[in-house]
Parts: sequence; structure tokens; C-alpha cells
Amino acid sequence: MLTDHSLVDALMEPYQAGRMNSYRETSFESLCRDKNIEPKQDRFVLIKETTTRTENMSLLVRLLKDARGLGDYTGLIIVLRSPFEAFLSQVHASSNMWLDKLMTSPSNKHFETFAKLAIAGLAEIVWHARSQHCRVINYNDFCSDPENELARLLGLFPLRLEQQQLELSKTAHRGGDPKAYSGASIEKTDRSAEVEELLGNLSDTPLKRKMLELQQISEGAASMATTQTIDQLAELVIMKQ
Amino acid sequence: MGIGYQASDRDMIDYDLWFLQRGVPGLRGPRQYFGENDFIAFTGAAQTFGRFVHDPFTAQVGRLSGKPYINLGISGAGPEYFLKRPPLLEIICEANIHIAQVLSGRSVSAGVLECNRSNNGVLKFLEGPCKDQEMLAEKAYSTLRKVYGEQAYEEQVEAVREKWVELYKTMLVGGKGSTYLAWVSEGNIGEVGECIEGGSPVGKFPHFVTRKMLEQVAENCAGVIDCTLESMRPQVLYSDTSGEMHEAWDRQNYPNRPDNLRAFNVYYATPEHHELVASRVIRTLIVDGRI
Repeated sequence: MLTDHSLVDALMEPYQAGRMNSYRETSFESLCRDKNIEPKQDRFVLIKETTTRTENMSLLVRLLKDARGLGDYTGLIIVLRSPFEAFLSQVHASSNMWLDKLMTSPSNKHFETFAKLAIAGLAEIVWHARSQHCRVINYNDFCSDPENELARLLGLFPLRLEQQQLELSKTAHRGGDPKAYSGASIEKTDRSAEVEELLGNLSDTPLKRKMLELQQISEGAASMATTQTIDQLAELVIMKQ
Repeated sequence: MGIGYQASDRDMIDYDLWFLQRGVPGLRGPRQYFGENDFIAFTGAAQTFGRFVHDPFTAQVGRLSGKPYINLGISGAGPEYFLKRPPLLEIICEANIHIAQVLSGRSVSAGVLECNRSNNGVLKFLEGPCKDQEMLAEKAYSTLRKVYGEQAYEEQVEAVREKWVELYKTMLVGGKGSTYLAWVSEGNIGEVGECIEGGSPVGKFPHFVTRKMLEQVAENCAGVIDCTLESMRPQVLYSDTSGEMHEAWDRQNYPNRPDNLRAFNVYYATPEHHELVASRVIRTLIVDGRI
């Protein structure tokens, strides 16, 4: 939806998608050239990346620094999601869509792997988050009130909301995560029953408890100042062991 | 010491140190006292200095009260630090209002341990198997317990408690203004002073200080301001220049600090705690008609 703005050029998961080819370009100019984007004074480039691979975050941070070094305005949006929903979503995608069939069942083992990767990626981005103009949002808030959340995020650029951003069905496939574009429109899958079942099945481990805390932080993101949320995340994913 | 903090914390915060006079350590700035008659003096340790805090409670109280103030917060200080420095004592005595942070019982010379003159948080053994060895207070008390035995440790704690009261009484005599004791701690009054069996040999700040000790000293004061914040959240430390998280305790100088705690303040009063102290102090001063 953010990328549907007329002044925004989108770049979906350049590092995640390029991981098989060890794509590590962190020069903003070179990255744009590689991805056929021409940065212009009055336009914005939005890069979406996934946190479950720590290197994606390290590269993204370096890219942001490079862009800022060139005198460009940079910002960061962290989208938090219920880690249990995100895990189930990954299991679903891994089983049905992705080439890597690494996480095909909601088992304790796969959950631990997912949780460790999520924490490591978050830790990397959180360490640097306050060096950027930053917003933290909850995925569910975004889904339930896209107009307000979009407007809030666009304020970071700053841009004004455009009507076509709210018309999801017009969204074209731009690469990146195939599960986001699998249908004619983006609809949030209701996983509450599945999550409840998952929580009942998962063993009570420190990682599970940590993920429950992450869920709480995520749910409170809308009512907290961004800096407070980042501090809470830092405490959870870096300090607590 | 202020200079030590300035050196180690320079990427996070500029303490803007200033010097009252030669021989007196660097004081937390910016300077807000220029010899006025009606001013507030704050004495204390690192909490009063405001390590890791951009807007310490001293500055908040100064701003809210509209009075000039001087921050005499000195790293690791015990009462004897001030008693051994006449220029500082003179300032304290001249102040209309003196907010005296309750200082640590471990930073007191008594029994077999003597405080380092410059940093009261470093102790030297005066006798016994570790004679002349100098170490940080917590390690010194741990060594004392292990090497000299439990009885020697208990006698030491008793000795510093007695001495602490005596020193405070001396320090608080002769001031022209009103002195308030400010209890700045994560533990309630009277619940930090006792030695914790199996845990830290010095307990929580202000180590070893009991309710009874406080009551003895409070006889010479206008009151005690309870600034306990029991559930203090850790403070994430950031670089002032880059905005990124910052490891205040680097690997080279602090090899034993756990890696997950290098960029977190879990000991000194956090900005949240400073706000609480400022509000309690201001409320007390207003209720008592001092401002």
C-alpha cells in the first residue's frame, strides 16, 4: 500500500531475494542502478526487507547510512507482527510457496529456529533504529485501520495519502514475498484459532516466553512513543538472555 | 570522578564539566551557580551527578524552583569525601537549601578498610592478609568475607554503619539553610542496608544504610525525601552523535561485563528515576514553603 503512492518507487526484499547470489550492494546509487530505479529529487524509494535473516538487516543499515552520507533523507519503518502468526504464516508459505522447504510444520523445533532468527534480525535493526527517523507499527493495527496508519507512516517521508493506496485490488506484483501477492487482493488471514492451538502445543521455553513478550510489545506499539517501543524491544531482544 | 565519566561517556553525553576552583574535581554542568546568596546545593554520588542522564534531577529542580543551584554529585562519594574538602563544605554551609543524597555505607573508612581519597568507591585493606591491597568496594567486601571470614565481615559492616552516622552528623552541622536527605534507591528505606546472604556482599545502593541510621541523621535535617523507584526499567544507552545504541562498557576495559549488558544502564538512576526524584523534591520544597 505504501508503494502505491505516485511518488514512491518500491524495492522489495533486495537482499532476501538476492541471498542465493550473495547480493550485498550497500551503495544506494549502485543498488538503484541494479534494480532499475532512478532516484529523483522529488521522489522516494521504499525498500522492504525481511528481518528473519540477520544479514538483511546489517546490509539495510549500511545502505541507509550510505544514502544519508550522500545527503539523502532516510527513515525506517519497523512492522511488528504477532510472532506466532508470523511463524504460522512462514510455515504455510514454506510448505506451499517457497522453494526452501525449511519450516513445514508448526513444531517446537521449527518454532525455536524461527524465533532465534527473528530475535537476531530484530536485535540488529533495533541497535540502529534510533539513528533513523523511525516509526514502529503493529501489523494488525495496519490491517484494521489502514487509512490512519498509512497516513501516519507517510508523515515520515513526508507525503500525503493518495486514494489509490487504499484500493488494494489494484496492487500489482512487485516481487518479494509471493504470499503477499497470491490473490487478487491482500487480505489478512484470521489465524487466531491456529495461534491458540499453536500456543497450546508449544513447550513452555524461554524463547516462547520471549515471543509472548514480543507480542505484547507489538500490541502496545500504537499507544507508545516510537522511542519507548524501541527501548522495550532493545531490552527484550538484546538485554534479556 | 566527573572527568572519568566525561572520558568514558563522551560519545553518549557531554557533561559540560566546570571547576569551582583548583583542587576541586570537575562538577556536572552546565554551570548554574555564580556566587548567589539564595541557592540550592545538591550533594551526592553518581546518581546526583546524573551519569547517563541528559536532564538530571538537579537541573530539573533548579529549573522548576527558579533558583540557582550547584551539583556536587561526585562518583563513588561517601560523606567523608565532602568533609575532607573545605571548599565544598563551605558551599554546602552557604546554601539556603541543601539536598543531600543518602550516600553509600560502603564508601566509608572504618574497620579494616580505608577509602581512596579521590574515589571513595575504591577501598584499601589496612591490615590482615590483604593489607595494602586496593580494590573496588564490592570486590573488597567480597574478599573480606571470603578471606577474613564472616565474623570479620559483620564487624566491618557494623563499623562502617557507626562511622557513617558520625560522619553525616559532622557534615550536616553548621549549615545556614535547610537540609533534606534524599533517599534515591531501587530499594525501600531500610531494605537495602542489610547484607544479602549469598548475593551481593554490599546489597543495593546506598549499601548498608538502615532505617535506624537514617533516623539518627535525620534529627539534624528538615526531612527525608523518599525517592524510591522499586521497578526501575533498564536504560538503553545511545550515542549522542550517531543515535545508535552504545556500549558504555567496552570489551577492552570491562572484559567481565556480560555482553548483553554493555549498552544498558542497570545500576545508575535512569531518566525515569530522575524525574521521580525531581518531582518529590519539588513537592517537598513547596509543601514546606521553601520555594
